[in-house]
Amino acid sequence: MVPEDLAQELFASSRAQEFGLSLAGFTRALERASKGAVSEAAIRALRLEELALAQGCAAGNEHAWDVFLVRYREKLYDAARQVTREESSARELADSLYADLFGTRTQEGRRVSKLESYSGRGSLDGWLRTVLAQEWVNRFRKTKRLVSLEEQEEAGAQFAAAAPEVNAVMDPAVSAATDQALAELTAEDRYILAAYYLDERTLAQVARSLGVHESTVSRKVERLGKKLRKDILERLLRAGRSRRQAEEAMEVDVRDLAVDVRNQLKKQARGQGLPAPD
Amino acid sequence: MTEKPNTGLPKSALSRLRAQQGGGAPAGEHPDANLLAAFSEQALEAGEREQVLMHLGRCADCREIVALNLPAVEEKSFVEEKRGWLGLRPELMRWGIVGASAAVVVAAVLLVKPELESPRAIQNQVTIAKPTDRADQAVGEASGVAREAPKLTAGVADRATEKEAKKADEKRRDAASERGYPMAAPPPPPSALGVSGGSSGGVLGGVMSPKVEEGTGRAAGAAAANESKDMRTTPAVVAQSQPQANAPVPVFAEEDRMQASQAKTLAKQKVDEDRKMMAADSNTVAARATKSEVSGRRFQLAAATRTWRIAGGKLQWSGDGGASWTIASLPDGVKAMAVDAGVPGVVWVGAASGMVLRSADQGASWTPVKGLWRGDVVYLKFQDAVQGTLRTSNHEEWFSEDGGMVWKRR
Repeated sequence: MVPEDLAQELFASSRAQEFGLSLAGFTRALERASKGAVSEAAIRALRLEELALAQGCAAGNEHAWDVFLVRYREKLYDAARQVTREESSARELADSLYADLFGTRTQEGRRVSKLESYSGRGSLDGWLRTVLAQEWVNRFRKTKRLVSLEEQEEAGAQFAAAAPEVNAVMDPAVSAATDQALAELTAEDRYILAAYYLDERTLAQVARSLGVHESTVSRKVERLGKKLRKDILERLLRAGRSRRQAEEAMEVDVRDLAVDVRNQLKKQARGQGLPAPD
Repeated sequence: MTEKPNTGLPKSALSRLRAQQGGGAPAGEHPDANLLAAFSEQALEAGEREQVLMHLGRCADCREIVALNLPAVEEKSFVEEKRGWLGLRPELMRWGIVGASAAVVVAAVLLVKPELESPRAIQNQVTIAKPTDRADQAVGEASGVAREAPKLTAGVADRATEKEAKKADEKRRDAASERGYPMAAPPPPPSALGVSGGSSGGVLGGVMSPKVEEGTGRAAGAAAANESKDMRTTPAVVAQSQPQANAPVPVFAEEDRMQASQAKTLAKQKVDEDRKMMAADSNTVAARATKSEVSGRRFQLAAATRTWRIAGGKLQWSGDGGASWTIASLPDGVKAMAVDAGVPGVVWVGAASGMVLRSADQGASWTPVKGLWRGDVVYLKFQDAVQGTLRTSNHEEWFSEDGGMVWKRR
């Protein structure tokens, strides 16, 4: 519950009235945005003017929309271009978001705008970019699936049985030791490893997403590699493996195992005069 | 995309990390746009940030959204990668380097074999081209006046009427007299300078260091002068490598005679000074060089002995074989991390945040070289004048086969 005097003070300083909000409406928006945050500092830290603008737009205030378009129209298209890296897709994506922001669906006879969900935690600009990125990732996944089906149909392989999964399993002891070592990492360390090694982001990108310097991430990546190697090795040694066995086991990638199994199957098939699997 | 080099992370860890993405372990509900936006802007409190990071560590989709949400920086560098020094297109730079190379070769031939020509010929080659500097020539050309004159001089006046020629001549005189310089012969066409590809070389000369520009100055011709409008020097004598028969004959207007006479006297004094310097110099190369070339060459010889290093995060050079070190001046905010001065006369510096600088005047001025590489440039080495290698803190390796103009990822 936002104290009344605080709500009044923030109402006055946020231009909420200019965007057509009442004190009660603004207070409700504050309560939604703060989501149970009781500290005054947390409420004051919200982007109040942008919150008032978003709520004003959601309520259909014309002046709020004028201000919104002046401030964010170009930014939105720029962000869409950055996300899609292609002009026509960018325009389509941005237009689609505009429709959602304006509110194309109704609930209980009331138009529902996506701007209602903006909480003021980050900037409205950043929120719009994030919403665009979410929409794009969702579309990409859908499109990828559709294209994949079409390609299969064109290739006449729509009825082909699914390729059998090659059952390549890591040594359980190595797997357990690795999982335990990974479980001891902090959330940030895990994020850095996933972003850098799995997503193949650059050090600069990872650093920017965390708000630190690139060299900090560089040092962390190096340190984490060494730490994980040492931890897993120690666990395997404790499990009775020799140092050499442990080191070799650590450097086995299941994908390499999969390739080996596939090659082995091919060899066997050739030996028996059967058609080799793909 | 190719997989990054595995620098220390065990493959088993990579496999398990991959297996634990998404379905492998419960990633929980996806954070909403407010949380992700606040995360990207570092606006979350520690507890919330930890929760978001925990999710991100296991959710590739949300990591993708965070990555897409980052402000665009790399697109800019993608565009810039296709540009060379000072933002010139590689095609121009290639022609520029070809022209400059031709100019250097011609200059080298002239410098190395002066004895093939008689002393009289050398004496004849030193003519007064113009008592003004190249920069003023460029000003004249820029105003459209000087462009007319070479046409007439070269006999390509079929389109220009006599009236136009007179008008152009008057304009040229006016422009010269306004600057207080006596009138001289119209600048010879580039072909008269005896060096092919002069204009291309001129472009390069304009973008490279002053020393290089001086070295190719004669070959650069009018284009180089055009590039260096702002450079003002005292009236100088330009030595040209052309036969006396083709030397431009000074044509002075009546009103300019006195000034021209003074300038001629001054020029003669300069010639005498230069001859004294040339005589003092045991190398006969100097017989053909202007004063600035001589002094520039001496500077180069002195500076060529410099040794470079990075110590305490500072770029330093030593002119006495390492007995004492001087901190080199770099542009603000540049943190040098690698230096290479293996190619005589060229110093390369790799710096933090992908910055690469090149100096052709022993560190007096630096030209940024841009590329697509990421991270700090921690290694930079030129095996020779054309082949160079660059490595970054991001484990990227780039190479160049054209003296550092175009870089490709290895």
